[in-house]
Amino acid sequence: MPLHLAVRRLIPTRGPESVDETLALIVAGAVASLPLVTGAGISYLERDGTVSSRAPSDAVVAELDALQNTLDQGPCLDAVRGGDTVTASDMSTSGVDRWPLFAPVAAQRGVLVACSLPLFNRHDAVVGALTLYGGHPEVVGEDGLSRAAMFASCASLALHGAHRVARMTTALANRDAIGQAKGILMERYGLSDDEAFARLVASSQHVNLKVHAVARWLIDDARGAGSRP
Amino acid sequence: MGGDGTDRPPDDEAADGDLPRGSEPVALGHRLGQVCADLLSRVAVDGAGITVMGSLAGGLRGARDQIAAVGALSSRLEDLQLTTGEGPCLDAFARGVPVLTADLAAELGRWPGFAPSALAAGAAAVFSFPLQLGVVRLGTLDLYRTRSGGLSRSQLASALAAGDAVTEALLTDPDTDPGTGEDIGWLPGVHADVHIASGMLSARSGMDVGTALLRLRAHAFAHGEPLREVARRVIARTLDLTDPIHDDPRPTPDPEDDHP
Repeated sequence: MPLHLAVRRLIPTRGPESVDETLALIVAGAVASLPLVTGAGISYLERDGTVSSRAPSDAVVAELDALQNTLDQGPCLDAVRGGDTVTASDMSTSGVDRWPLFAPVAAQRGVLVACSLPLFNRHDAVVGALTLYGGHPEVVGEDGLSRAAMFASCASLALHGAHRVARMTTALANRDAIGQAKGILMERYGLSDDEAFARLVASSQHVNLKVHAVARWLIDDARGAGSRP
Repeated sequence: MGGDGTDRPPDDEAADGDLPRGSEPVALGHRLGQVCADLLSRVAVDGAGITVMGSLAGGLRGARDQIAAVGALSSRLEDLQLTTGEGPCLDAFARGVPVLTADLAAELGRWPGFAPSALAAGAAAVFSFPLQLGVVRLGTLDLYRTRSGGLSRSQLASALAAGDAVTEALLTDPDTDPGTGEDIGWLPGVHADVHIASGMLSARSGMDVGTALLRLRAHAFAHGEPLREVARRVIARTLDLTDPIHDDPRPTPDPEDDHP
C-alpha cells in the first residue's frame, strides 16, 4: 500500500476511535506501507511507568514484544526510555552485543532486523514506541528509516488526538455519573445538590476511592433497588 | 513551553476567528464565547454555540456539554438535540462534515423530531461544523438563523476557520486537559440537572439511570417542554415520571401522604 494511503487511513472516517483502535490502525498501516517490514507492534508507556506491548501484528511480534518486557531489554525499551530511534541491522551478530538475551531469540524467529521509533505527544514526551520487524537490512537503510520516521510522526499525531478525546470522554462520563449519584442521594436522603456532593466527597475520602468511582457504585446499587419495580 | 504568549503582543479580539490571548489568562469558556459573538456579525447568524462530546454514543446518552452559547435559541437547540437524539449537530459529529441547512422548514423529514420543534422555537436555518483535527473529533460549532438562507462563500470560510480555531483551542488549552486529575471545571455542565434528575428517578423507581434519562426525554418530547425544565420539575418533586402509564403533563399536586 502506498505510504500516503496508509497515513490517510490513520485518520478514521467514521468517527473518533479509541486509543486501542488507533494503535491497531498504526500497526496495520506500518506493515502495509513500509517496504520489507514483516511485522510491527507498539510498546505503550502506561501511566504507572511500565511498558506494555499493544496491537502486535502477529504472534511472533506479540512474543518478541512481550519477551522484551520480561527480559527488560530490547530495542522497544531502549526507544521508549531513550527517546531516540533504535535500529538493529542483524540480531544474530551486533544485536547480541546490545541485547544478549533478547537478540538470539529474535534471530531464531527469523527476525534479524528491527527498528523502534519513539512516539511523542505534543509536549515532546515519549508515550511509546512503534517497532518494525523484518528480515532484510534495507528496513533500517536510509530510505527505509526516513519513510518509517515520517510514518511515526503521523502516528504520534493520531495517537495524541485519540488520547485527548479519550480523556475528554472520560471526564464527561465521570461528571455525568457524579450528577446522577447526587440525584440518588438527594432523592434518598432529601439532600440539596451541595449536600449530596459533600456526602459523595466524604464517602470517597472515607473509602479512598475517586468520587466518580463512588458515584458509579451508587448508580449500580440504585438500579433495581427503588421502592417500585 | 512555559511563558506562553509573553513574548508577543495580545492578539486583536477574536480577529479572523482566532482566539484572543492576552498577557493575562482568560478562561477558555470566555474566549470561546467571544468567538461565538464574533461569528454573529461575521457570518450574519443570530446565534452560535459550541458543543463538546467525546463520542456519538456518549453524546446521545447525555455525555455532552455546551461550552459556549450566544443567541436566544442556542441553548434551546442544544436541549432539543439531546431530547430528540437527532439534529444537525449530531449529524455533523457523526459524519465529520459540515451540515448546512439553509431552510429548516424544507428538512422536516430529515429530523422529524428535532426540526418541527426547532422551527417552533424560531430557528429557520441551522449550520453545524464538526470540530475535528485528523483523528480527533471533539464536538461541533453550531450556528442558526431566524430567517432561512444559506451561507455565502466567505461566511462559510469564516465559520470553517472559526471551527478550526476552536478545535485547536480545545486540543491545546490547558483548561481542557483533565490529565490524571479530575478537574473538569471548564465544562459548564448545561445538562447537570438532567443527570441529577436521572439519578433521582433511578433512586425513586429502581430503573437504571439510562432508562431514567429516556423517560425524561420522552416526557420532554411528548409535551414540547424543554428537557432542562422537565429535569427541574423532577428535582423539585413536582413531576414523578416513575410510572410511564400515568405520565401527566401537568405538574402533579403535592402528595398528601406517603404510601409505599
